[in-house]
Amino acid sequence: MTGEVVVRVEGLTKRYGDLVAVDRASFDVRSSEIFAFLGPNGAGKTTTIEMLQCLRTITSGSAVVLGFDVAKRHDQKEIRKRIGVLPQDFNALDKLTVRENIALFASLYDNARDPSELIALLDLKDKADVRFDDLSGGLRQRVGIAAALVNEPELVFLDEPTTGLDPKSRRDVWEVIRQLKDRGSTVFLTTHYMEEAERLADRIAVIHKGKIVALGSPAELLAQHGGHSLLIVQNPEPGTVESARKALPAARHTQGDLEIRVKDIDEVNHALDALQAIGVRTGIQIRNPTIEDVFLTLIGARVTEEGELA
Amino acid sequence: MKKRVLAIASALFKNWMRSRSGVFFSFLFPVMLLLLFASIFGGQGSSSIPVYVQNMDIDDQGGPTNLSMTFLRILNETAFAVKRVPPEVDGLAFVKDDLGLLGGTFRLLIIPDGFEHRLLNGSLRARLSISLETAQSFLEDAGGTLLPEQKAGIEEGIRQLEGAMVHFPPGEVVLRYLDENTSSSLIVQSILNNVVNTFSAGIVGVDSNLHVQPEGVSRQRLKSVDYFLPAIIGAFVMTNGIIGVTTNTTEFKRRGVLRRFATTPMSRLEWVVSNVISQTTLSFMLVLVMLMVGWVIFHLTAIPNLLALVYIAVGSILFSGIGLILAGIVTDVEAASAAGNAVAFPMMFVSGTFWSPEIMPAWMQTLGNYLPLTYLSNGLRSAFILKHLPSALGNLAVLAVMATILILLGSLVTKWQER
Repeated sequence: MTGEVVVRVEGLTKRYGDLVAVDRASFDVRSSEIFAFLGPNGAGKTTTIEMLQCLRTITSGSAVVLGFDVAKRHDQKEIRKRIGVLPQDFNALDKLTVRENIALFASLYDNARDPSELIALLDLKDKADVRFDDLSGGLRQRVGIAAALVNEPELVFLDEPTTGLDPKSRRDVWEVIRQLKDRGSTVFLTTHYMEEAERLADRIAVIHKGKIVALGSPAELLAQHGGHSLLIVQNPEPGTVESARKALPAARHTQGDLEIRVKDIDEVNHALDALQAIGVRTGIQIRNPTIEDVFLTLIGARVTEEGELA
Repeated sequence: MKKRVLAIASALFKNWMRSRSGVFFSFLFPVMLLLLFASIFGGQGSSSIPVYVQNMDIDDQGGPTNLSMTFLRILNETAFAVKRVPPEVDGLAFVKDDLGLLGGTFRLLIIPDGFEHRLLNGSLRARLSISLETAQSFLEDAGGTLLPEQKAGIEEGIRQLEGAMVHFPPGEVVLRYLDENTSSSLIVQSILNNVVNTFSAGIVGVDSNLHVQPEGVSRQRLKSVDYFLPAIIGAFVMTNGIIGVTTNTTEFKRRGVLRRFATTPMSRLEWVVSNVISQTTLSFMLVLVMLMVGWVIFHLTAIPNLLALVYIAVGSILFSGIGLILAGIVTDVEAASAAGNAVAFPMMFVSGTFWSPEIMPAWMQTLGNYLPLTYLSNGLRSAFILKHLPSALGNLAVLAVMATILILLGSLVTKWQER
């Protein structure tokens, strides 16, 4: 499915005085994949992709996007022709309509798609003549994605595409991103939502304090850093907890539930037998590790809805 | 490049025109000011009004006559700063040239040849007339009581006085005053009349035959709206450029629109040119609206020529440059708006938009000489009203130099890539 390298980053560093915003980051992005940068606010996600978009200069290291060096002025022009960008909190000219804004972005490229085609693709037909400032957050993001696709880009950067959106709008945007992948686009996504990275990305780079701390497919990350699965007994009786602890030393009583770490099917069967023996027959479920667990393992903290470490 | 520039310029223009506050400050506010000023403005006092004086009254030795010199001294001691025009030149052409390429207010007072002679004649004739009337009145009232030889003596005196009066024929001494009909014209003429009356009463005597005859420099009969219109157009080309570009650009920066454009093939230069085109289009629309209002409501007579349109374009470039500089320096939208207002409004008042600069304190006049709006206002007046090409071109040259520098600075501080 994925193939040639479209972004090659080696030792990429960005300093602001003593502050190191991006610290020797190295990674590749391959064609037709969804590559996610996952990290809390201030981790260096946006700074990194803005260097790749030629919006910021680099302090050291190198970055080649679609075969062009981001540090060379002439190459920057070529990169800008070939990429599509959805910035964080996309905004357009607020008094222009959806159609006018998409047409405006289309006019900035020598070869651009028909705005009507993009309006249809992003399901914006009903809103085509509505002014940008009258749109909801989800619709604005869709306009932003349409604007990012006007030049049929070889690489699309989506910076926190669903931040601040309601759940339905978020799911709608996910669907659009999946469609991009289905059409063969390469997508470079940044997010602080674990679920978003896990659901969409082919590969994830976990970034913290400017450093990439882990990189791999979701399965690889889960295998390496996700820890064990949990067999959970929901709201057990008080006596049951004591009995379970005696039978299963790995059992923990956490937030009202009984959690037993299991690493394979044998351990699952052993735990189920023990639970059955002490009379637990209902309220049992198995929870596999998620990217959130990976993040917790790597960073030692969770990320709030707003993107802050907690 | 052309396609991108026109697309962005058109989008910026549409975006601005659909904003209620944008339309108000771009069009309605200037129209309101035009209505207000053209309706109520009559003239202003002055502390030192420059006036050119051409003294044609030369004595036999080739120097100015004593009386004309006295008149000039009194003129200089009052509210006027007298600038001499040599008697042998064409006064009108001399003043236009002397006002120079940068323009200024045209005021020329011409003291005619024979000024002293005719004033003295008039004075003597007035005195003889008084003596004659006194003698005639005395003869009429007391003639019956006089001895015949006394009566005959008085009658002989009256005959001699009548004979002398023949040598002093009646005649007016007219001082021609040429003025370009500015907002201060009426008050300047009033002050001039006071000076003439003082001179007549103190130096020459009662019943002076000295009068001031005002004449317009332009052949057009101009109204106050003709004076205000170019200045108000200039002022709002300035405010639209400075405040409009500053707030728009800062807002685009805050909302990330500018950064989004920077990720496309559009260059910084194209962005700057787009802003200039958008502002110039806005300015031309403002001119059209103002002219329509002027024509319909005030029966405006001044008609902008091609040079005036060039002025509008250069002014739009210049003030867009200032707007871009402010937007490049100030990051906060509210602070940018405040900065734009802080630059634009004092400039509007100090540059003589609404009144002649001469009524302002000297330091303000000096400050005004360094402000681009002064040159735009003067130049637009020259182009609209005076049709005085050297003055109009001179102001245009200064503006063009300023515009080039400012738009380059504006481009330099517009960040397309952050360090």
